[in-house]
Amino acid sequence: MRRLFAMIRNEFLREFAYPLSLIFFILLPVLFTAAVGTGLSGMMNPDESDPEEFRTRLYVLQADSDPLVDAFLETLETVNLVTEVVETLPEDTFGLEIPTDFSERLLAGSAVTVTLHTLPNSTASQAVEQYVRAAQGRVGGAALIAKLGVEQARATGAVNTEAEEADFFNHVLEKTLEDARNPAAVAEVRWPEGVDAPQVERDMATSNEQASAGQLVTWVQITLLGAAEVLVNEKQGGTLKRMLVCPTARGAILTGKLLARLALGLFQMALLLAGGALIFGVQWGKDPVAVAVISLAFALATVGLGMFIATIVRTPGQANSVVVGLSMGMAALGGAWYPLEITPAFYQQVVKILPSSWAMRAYTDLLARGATLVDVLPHAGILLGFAVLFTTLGILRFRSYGR
Amino acid sequence: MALVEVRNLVKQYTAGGPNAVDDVSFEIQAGEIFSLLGPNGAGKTTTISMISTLLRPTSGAITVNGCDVLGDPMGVRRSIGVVPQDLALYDELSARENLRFWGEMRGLHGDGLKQEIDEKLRLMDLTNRAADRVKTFSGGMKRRLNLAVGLLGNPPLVMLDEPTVAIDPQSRRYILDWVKDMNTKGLTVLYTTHYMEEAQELSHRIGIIDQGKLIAIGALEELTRLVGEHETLILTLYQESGGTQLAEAVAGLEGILQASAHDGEVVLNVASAETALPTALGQASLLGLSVRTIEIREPNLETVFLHLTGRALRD
Ligand SMILES: Nc1ncnc2c1ncn2[C@@H]1O[C@H](COP(=O)(O)OP(=O)(O)O)[C@@H](O)[C@H]1O
Ligand SMILES: [Mg+2]
Repeated sequence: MRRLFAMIRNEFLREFAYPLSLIFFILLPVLFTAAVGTGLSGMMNPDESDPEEFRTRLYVLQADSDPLVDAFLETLETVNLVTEVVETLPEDTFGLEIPTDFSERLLAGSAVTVTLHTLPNSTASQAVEQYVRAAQGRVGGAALIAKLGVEQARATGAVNTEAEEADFFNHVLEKTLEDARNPAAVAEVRWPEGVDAPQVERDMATSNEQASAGQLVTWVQITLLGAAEVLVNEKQGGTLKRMLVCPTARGAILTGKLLARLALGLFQMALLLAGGALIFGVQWGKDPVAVAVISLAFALATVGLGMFIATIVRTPGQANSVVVGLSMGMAALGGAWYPLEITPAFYQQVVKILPSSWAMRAYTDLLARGATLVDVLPHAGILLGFAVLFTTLGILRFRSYGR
Repeated sequence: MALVEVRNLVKQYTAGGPNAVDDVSFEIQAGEIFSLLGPNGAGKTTTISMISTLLRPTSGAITVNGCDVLGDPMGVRRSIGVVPQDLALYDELSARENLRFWGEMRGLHGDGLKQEIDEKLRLMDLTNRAADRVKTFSGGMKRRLNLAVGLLGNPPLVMLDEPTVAIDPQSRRYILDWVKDMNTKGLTVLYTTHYMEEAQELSHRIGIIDQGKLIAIGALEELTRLVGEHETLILTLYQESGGTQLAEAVAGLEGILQASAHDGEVVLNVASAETALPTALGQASLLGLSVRTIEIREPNLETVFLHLTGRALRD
C-alpha cells in the first residue's frame, strides 16, 4: 500500500516538476474549450450568432408605402427573411410584388394577391413561400382587429376626426403585431409552489456543453493514454529495472504505475469539470454521482488501454506517436469534436468500439436529456468492460516484460 | 554456506541464438569482494541481471542468501542492492526525493527512512546538494547518488555493474576506496569491470569471463600462476634499427622463451628475469647496441587474459 502511494506521489512530482507542464494539463484544455465552444455555437445554433448569414434575402417591389405595407415588411423580417425594397426585381432570386391596392383590399376584408417570384430549383423556395404566407396572415389578422377596434372606438365616441381614427388604427395594428411576435409573453407557464418544473429535454447538448464534454474527453484521454509512455520512459531511464529489483512484486509495480496515471487523469478531470461549470456555465446534469461514475469508468478504460499499449511499444518516440495519434483519433471519431447526433446511423454504430464514444454518449445524455445514474449505467458497464479487458491483457504481457 | 551460488547458468536471449552466458558456475562467500572481469559483451551484465531476478535464466540455478531466484524472487530482492551500469535516477527530482522514493520502494518508511536518507547523503558527500535536481549534478555526483540508492536498506549483498565507466579519476578513486571500506564493515560485493587494475586492487577473488564463459576463477596469485612462472622483460635501445637484430640474436638462448621487436623496443618472454637479463645485455654489447632502459613486468591479469584467450582484454 505504501509503495502504491510512493509511486503515485512520484508520478505527480515528476509530472509537475516544471510549471510549464501545467500549460498542457489545464490551460490549453480550457482555452480549447472556449475556442471550440464558440466555433460550435455558430454551427449548431445559427440564429444565436450573426443573423444575416443564415436568412434568405427577399427583394420587394412595392407601389407605395403606407402603415399596412410597412407592417407587412417588418413582419417578413421577423420570420427569417431579409427584405430589401427595389425599383425593379432582380432576376434569379426571390422577389415579391406588393400590389397598389394591398392596404385597401386588406381593410375591406377581401383577398389580396401578392406575387412571389421563387427559384424552382431552390430548396429554400418552399420555406420562403411559407414565410410570406405567415407574414400576410399575421398582418391581415392584425389589420382586421385594428379595423374592428376603430369601429368600436367610433361608436363609443372615443375617436372623432379622421386623423384620430388613423392614429388609433396604427396603434392597435402595431400592438397586435408586437404581441404576436413575442409568444413567450403569452405562453408563460407557472407551476404551483413546491412543484419542480419538468426538465426540458433536448436532443442535443448546447455548444458549450458539447465543447466542455468533448474537450474533457480529448485532454484527459491524452493524460490517461499517457500510461502507454511510462514503461518505456522508465525503461529508457533505467529506473524500470531498478524498480523491478526492489522487493516489490511485478503486479504491484504495474498497479502502482496504473493508479498513478489514473490519479493524474482524475485530477485533471476534476479540474476540467469544475472549469466547465465555473467558466462556461455548464451544468453537468442533475446527477453528480452519475457524472462521477461515468468519468471514473471512462478513466479506467482509457488508462487500461494505455497500460496495455505500454507493454507493446518499444521506444519513447513510438509511444508518444501512438498516444497523440490515438487520443486525437479516438476523440475525433468518438464524437468529442462534434456531436455524434449529426453523423450517419451507420457511423454511430461503428464508433461503438471506442470508449470515447460511450463517454460522449453518456455525458450528452446527462447534460442535455436529463439522464440519471440508472440511464447511464449501461454506458458505465461497457466502459468498465473495456477497462477489465485492457488491464487483463496488460497484466498478462507485463509478466514477461523485459525478460 | 556461500551467500551466492551460481550453478551451470545459461542465458540465451533468442531461442537457438548464441549463449550470452554459457554454463557459468561460481560462489561468493559472505564478506568477500568478488569481481567478474571481462571485455564488453562478455556477459557480465546478463549474469548480474539473472542474479538480481531481472532476467529469467534459460537454465541453471541461482540462490542468494538461501533464496532461489525463481522460487523466492522476493527473498532474493530483499537480500540485494543493485547499482546498475547505466544511471537509474529521476533527473527532474532532487537527490533527496530520489532517495526517498527508492527507499519507499524497498519498504522503508518513517524515521527509519529519514535516517537512511541522511546517512547515505553524508556517505556520498551529497548533503549540501540534497535539495537540488539531479539534472544539475556532475557525472561523478550522479554516479555517487546511483551508488547510494543501491545501498538503501543496507542489504547483505551489493552488486556493482561497471560503476566507474566514464567518470573522472577522483570519483573513481572515491568509489574504489568506498567499496573497500564498506567491505571491511561486512558488506559482500559482486563487482564487474573491464579494468584489470580495478579487479586486481579490490578483489579477494576474480572470475574472468569471455564470450559468456567463465574461463578462470580464483585469487589474483592463483590466476597469475596459470600463465606459468614467466616474466616479461622489456629493453629499449638507443639505436632504433637494432631491435630486430637483438631479438633474433637472443631468440632460442637459454631461459628466453619468446622474443619480439618493435622499433627500438625488444620484448622478451622469459622464465626468470634474473637469469635472462645478463644474457640479453651481453648479446646487446656484442652487437654494439647500447641499452637505454630496462623494465621487468610481473605477470598480471592482462597477461592472464592474453594467455587464456590469445586476445588483449581491451580489444
Ligand atoms: N537484451 C538483449 N538481447 C539480445 N542480446 C543481448 C541483450 N543484452 C545483451 N545481449 C548480448 O549478450 C551478450 C552479453 O552482453 P552483456 O551481458 O551486456 O555483456 P557485458 O555486460 O559483459 O558487456 C552480448 O553479446 C550482447 O550483445
Ligand atoms: Mg555490461
